[in-house]
Amino acid sequence: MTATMLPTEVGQMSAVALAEIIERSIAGNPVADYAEREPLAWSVIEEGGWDSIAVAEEFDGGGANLRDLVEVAQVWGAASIPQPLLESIWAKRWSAQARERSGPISVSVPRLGVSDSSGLAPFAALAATGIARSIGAGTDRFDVAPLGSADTFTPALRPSVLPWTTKMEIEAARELGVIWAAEVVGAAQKLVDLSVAYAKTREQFGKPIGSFQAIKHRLADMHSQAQYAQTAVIWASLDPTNSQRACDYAVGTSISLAEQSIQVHGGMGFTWEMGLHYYLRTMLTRRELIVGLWA
Amino acid sequence: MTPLDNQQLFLDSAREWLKTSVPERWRQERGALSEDEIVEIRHEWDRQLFAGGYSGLAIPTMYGGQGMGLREEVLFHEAAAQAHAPEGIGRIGKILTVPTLVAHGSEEQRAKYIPGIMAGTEVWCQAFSEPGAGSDLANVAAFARKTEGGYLVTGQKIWTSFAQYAERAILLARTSHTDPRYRNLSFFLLDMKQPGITLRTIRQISDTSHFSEVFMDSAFVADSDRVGEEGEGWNIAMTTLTSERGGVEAITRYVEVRGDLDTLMRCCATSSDIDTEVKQLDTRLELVRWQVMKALDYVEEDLEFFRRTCMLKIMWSELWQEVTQLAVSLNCRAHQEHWRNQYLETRAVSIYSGSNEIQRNIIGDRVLGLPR
Ligand SMILES: Cc1cc2nc3c(=O)[nH]c(=O)nc-3n(C[C@H](O)[C@H](O)[C@H](O)COP(=O)(O)OP(=O)(O)OC[C@H]3O[C@@H](n4cnc5c(N)ncnc54)[C@H](O)[C@@H]3O)c2cc1C
Repeated sequence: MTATMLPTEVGQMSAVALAEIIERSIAGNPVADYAEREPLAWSVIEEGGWDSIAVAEEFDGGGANLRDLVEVAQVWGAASIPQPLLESIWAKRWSAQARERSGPISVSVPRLGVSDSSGLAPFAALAATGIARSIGAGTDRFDVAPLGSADTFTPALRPSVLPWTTKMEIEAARELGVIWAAEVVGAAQKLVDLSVAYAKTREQFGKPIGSFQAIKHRLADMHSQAQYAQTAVIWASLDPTNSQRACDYAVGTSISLAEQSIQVHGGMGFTWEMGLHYYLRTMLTRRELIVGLWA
Repeated sequence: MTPLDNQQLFLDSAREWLKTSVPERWRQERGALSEDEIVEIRHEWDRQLFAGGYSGLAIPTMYGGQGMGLREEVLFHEAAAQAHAPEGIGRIGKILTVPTLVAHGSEEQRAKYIPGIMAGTEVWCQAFSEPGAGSDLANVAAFARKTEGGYLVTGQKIWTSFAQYAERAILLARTSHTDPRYRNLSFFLLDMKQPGITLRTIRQISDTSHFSEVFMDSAFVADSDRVGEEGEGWNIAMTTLTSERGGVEAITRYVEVRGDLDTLMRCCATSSDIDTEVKQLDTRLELVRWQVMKALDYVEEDLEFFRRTCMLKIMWSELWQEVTQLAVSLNCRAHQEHWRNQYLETRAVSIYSGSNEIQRNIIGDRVLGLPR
């Protein structure tokens, strides 16, 4: 394998431009300020054509591939904006009916450990989200949210429990798992960045805590682990036969990074206001969704 | 009768008492109880313990305790764990205030405060940490200014657990602007129900609020409520902190982790894939208990005792975190809410009572004598 592992130009440019749009809408505010609001309206996303970046060029889309989406998903995950952008991008990539549809789209994924056929659907608690009945499996169709009963554990994902799950083409499901795992990795990298920044400014014993070797080594390990997690999702995007284990690794590592970021922040990390938990909650629910996809 | 027979007798009657005393609601529907109900049950449990004669087993009878030993305390907590007993809300009073007063308090202070703690009628909190004094506790800046008959304390505390339920606090405050670090602090017993005290509860990542910010604006403490002399606060606080990270604390935590691990083994972790992992956790948890029992033989020799107890806080906290990490990943629907909550709550156990990083520093410095 000698080919580059970089995303294509579409992926690179999309990631940069999306980061700018996000920055404009959240204006440097921490996730705790916007996770439970609507910092970025769906109309802005749709008008910018963001939900079409991975539609094939022959259908007038951006033509981004899965590796590109890994790049975009990390940017999205770092901000944790409560909109189903990634699900919509993916749906429009796989379904003609989704392409014709306006408004956000999401899916309902099997829940483990239940005896019924219920599913968990991210963003189904958001008004106007169309939840796909099937994707890439013939004639796709959608039910319009809000549906089911909201699960309030994960504010930034606004999930609901639905009585049914989305029928998905196997390859489509694999791609969605990779995209979600990449989103989680983006969130983990963000937490590493926040932890490093905190360790430079928080002082105890007259010094920044980052100068203590216990913290310095932990952060060095966190950096390494975040790198591995990122490599794992890139691997997952380029090597279908290993997608599943690479994604599981990436998500598990990311959750550990979130736990460690709380430790570095001390008591502050344990507060609702500091907001680290929003990312952690999203990661836990994404893990559940991804496991549901593989099942 | 041999001492062992005595202990067996004690244990038998404790088990009998627990069987009839642990509230059914707690045993059966703990997960469904509201925050207020939980607090009420925990409060009531303190009073039940006292009425049953199980409060302060290792505290001398002259202070309202049972005059037995640490060993009985440990045995009782084990039995309580097996009986899935609740944990009292008076833990700060029992685990921190009482040992501190026994070691450093005046006769008057012991007589005045220990009985209320034993009876479960007075809840205490620990007002040590401040925004600028977390790991670096000696950096406490709240100031106690001398006044007629006592002190007026002004400053801010943070992360004060149980503050909203507490009648009193053990308080660390500065009493000198000029004395050097470690000699400028004093230790006080603060009345929390006075006008100079305002609380602001802090919302935790688990979406509960068990701790608060405490704002003190000329709050009054009488001279008779200063423990030890002015300037001895740091040394006295070290007694408190050693108790906080010590054997009795570890055994009460053993009770809690045991409860969680039992739930995991009984219901959620049924897949054979994780059998080995669960057995490992179980072994390590039992080692917490055995480590405490081993240490009890050295309770009279400070350094030897500390050598054997200094790692307990790290042991139980990291173990508990691993238990909830595993549990929350298993998608057990019956316990989903419980594990989500416990998982988030246990993120704090490696931070509070002195972070695990600080505890490792202490082991390195004090036990191993490594150069600083
Ligand atoms: C749930 C909870 C309940 C609490 N209850 C109480 C209470 O009832 N009463 C009370 O007084 N306090 C209480 N605390 C406060 C607790 O003791 C402090 O949070 C703790 O001491 C850490 O201080 P900090 O939060 O300021 O973190 P910091 O001291 O800012 O630490 C941040 C990070 O830096 C690390 N660090 C700091 N210094 C060093 C060093 N020298 N070497 C290596 N690493 C270092 C820490 O380990 C941590 O990982 C509670 C905290 C929590 C989370």
